[in-house]
Amino acid sequence: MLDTDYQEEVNGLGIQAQRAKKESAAWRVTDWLNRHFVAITMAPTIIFLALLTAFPTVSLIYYSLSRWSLTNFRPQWTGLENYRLLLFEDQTFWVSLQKTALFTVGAVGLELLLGLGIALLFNRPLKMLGLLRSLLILPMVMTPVVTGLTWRIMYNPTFGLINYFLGMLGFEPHAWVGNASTALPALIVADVWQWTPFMFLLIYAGLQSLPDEPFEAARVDGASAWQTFRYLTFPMLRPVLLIAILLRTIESVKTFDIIFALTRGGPGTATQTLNIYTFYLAFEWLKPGYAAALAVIILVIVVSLGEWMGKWIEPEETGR
Amino acid sequence: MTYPRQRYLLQRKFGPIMAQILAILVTLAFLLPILWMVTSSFKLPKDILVMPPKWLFHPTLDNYRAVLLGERNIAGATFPEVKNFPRYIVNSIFISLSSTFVSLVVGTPAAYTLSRFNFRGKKQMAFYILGARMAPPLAVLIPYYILFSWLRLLDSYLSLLIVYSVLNLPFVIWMMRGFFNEVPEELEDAARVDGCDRFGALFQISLPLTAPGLAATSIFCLLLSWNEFLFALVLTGNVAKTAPVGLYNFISFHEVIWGALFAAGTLVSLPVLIFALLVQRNLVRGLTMGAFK
Repeated sequence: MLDTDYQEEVNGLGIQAQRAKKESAAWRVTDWLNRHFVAITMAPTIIFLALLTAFPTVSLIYYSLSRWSLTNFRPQWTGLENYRLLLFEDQTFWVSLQKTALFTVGAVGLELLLGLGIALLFNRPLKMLGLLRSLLILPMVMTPVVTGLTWRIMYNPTFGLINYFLGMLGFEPHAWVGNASTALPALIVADVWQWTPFMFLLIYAGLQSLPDEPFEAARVDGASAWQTFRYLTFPMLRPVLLIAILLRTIESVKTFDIIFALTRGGPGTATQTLNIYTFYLAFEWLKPGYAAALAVIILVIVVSLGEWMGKWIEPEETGR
Repeated sequence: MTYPRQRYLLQRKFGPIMAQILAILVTLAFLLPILWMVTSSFKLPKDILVMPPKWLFHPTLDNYRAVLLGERNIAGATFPEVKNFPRYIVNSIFISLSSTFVSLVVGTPAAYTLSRFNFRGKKQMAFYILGARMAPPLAVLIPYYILFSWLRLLDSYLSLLIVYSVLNLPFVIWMMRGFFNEVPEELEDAARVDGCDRFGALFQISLPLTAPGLAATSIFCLLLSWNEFLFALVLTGNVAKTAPVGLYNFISFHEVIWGALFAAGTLVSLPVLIFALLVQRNLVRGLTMGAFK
């Protein structure tokens, strides 16, 4: 009895209170905010994303169609002249494209092989596994420019660690970074050092998520280690490997810091990737229009690489 | 050919030991450059510039004194800008913190909406955010350089703050969206029945429950901003310069102050390494934009 009375009283108060609330300005503001929740929460993000994509892309295309200097803000419309020069008359562009491709294929390939190897090595009950794993992933968070500078010193022919270790194996000291034929491999090694841990982490996470049963069955059937890898681990790991390759390939094409710190694109054009070339064009040789055209080409390359590689990966495998 | 018994011994007894040794060696190999940088930062110039490298030496703090206090007693070097390095560190801290804050404030509500609501164009929106992070840095940098030089904003904190917040936003949204997905919706439904409005549900229920995720996301953003080099190199001069760019103060055409460079490199990268150890579980999620957990 008491309970129902109490309840009625509360309900009555509730209705009155709600009526009073509905008339107040504060309530109307809250109500409006609630009804437009999606728009309110998404709007700032849409503005920011426009600042990240639409604004740079549109202005980049505009700059790329003109001759333009940073000291004088009067661009001269030249149509597709910059693109014609780039694609048909600029030998350096093609060299840079080739260096970018070599760097990307070399670095991502080695990182994949090493990462896979280390992940398979760590995918067993080791002692101090947690500690080793934590330490192993440290290179990938190193400030890339510090990585580049550290490796530059490590490659130093007079007191660098690399020549010291190679000297113990009987090799003569060599200016790895200063020599046109070894600069790109030296750069790839530094990049591999930084990013193999990333590949390792992805592949290791993939290995850990594989079900146990097929491996039990393979063991019972007496499959060799190679057979287990070839017919079980590798096919089941394929989606993870593809995503890892996709992510690393796009990051490699975008690499700047480590190259700039280690070789500055040199000697000559030995390590001058598209990014380094664009950087020099825009900020050292002050040809922003021409650099913008090159940046548009890089944008096209990155987006089409992403599209093309994205097609290998089934939608549900990307997580969501 | 080995006999079964021998093969058994090889695989079952020596296999694990070999794997253990190999794992330790691999880890050491990957740590070597970091260890070398850190140990060299405590060496006098005469101990750095020698072959073979000295593993035992008298540790000194001279390099750190040169970097942090601007003392110029290292190999008689007189670099006028060296004494600015503490300022660059402060700049780095300020810009990283403020840009992380802005990205979180803008991105977290959007991540929540993408995780909870269905609206027209939601899927396209999600993929657009994912794709936005692929934008090549120079394609973003050139227009911003021209814009900021036109607005006379070059070498200002504001320019870096804007650029870093914008660059980090896709990471915030994708990481936070994953964390919100893990909060059971029933909790919010219960709160809404009790009279909590949408903003209340977000700020009083979901956000506190994703606090660890929020922390991981912030640390991840801090790492990205702290490590960034190219935008800082181009957009800043002496006023707003950040620590990674400041490293170049120890390198000139004539000489490199090795000890100071090692010390400054250690100062720049050590905080990052420590933070990374704190959030290592969530590092993969950030670096792959939520494709992996």
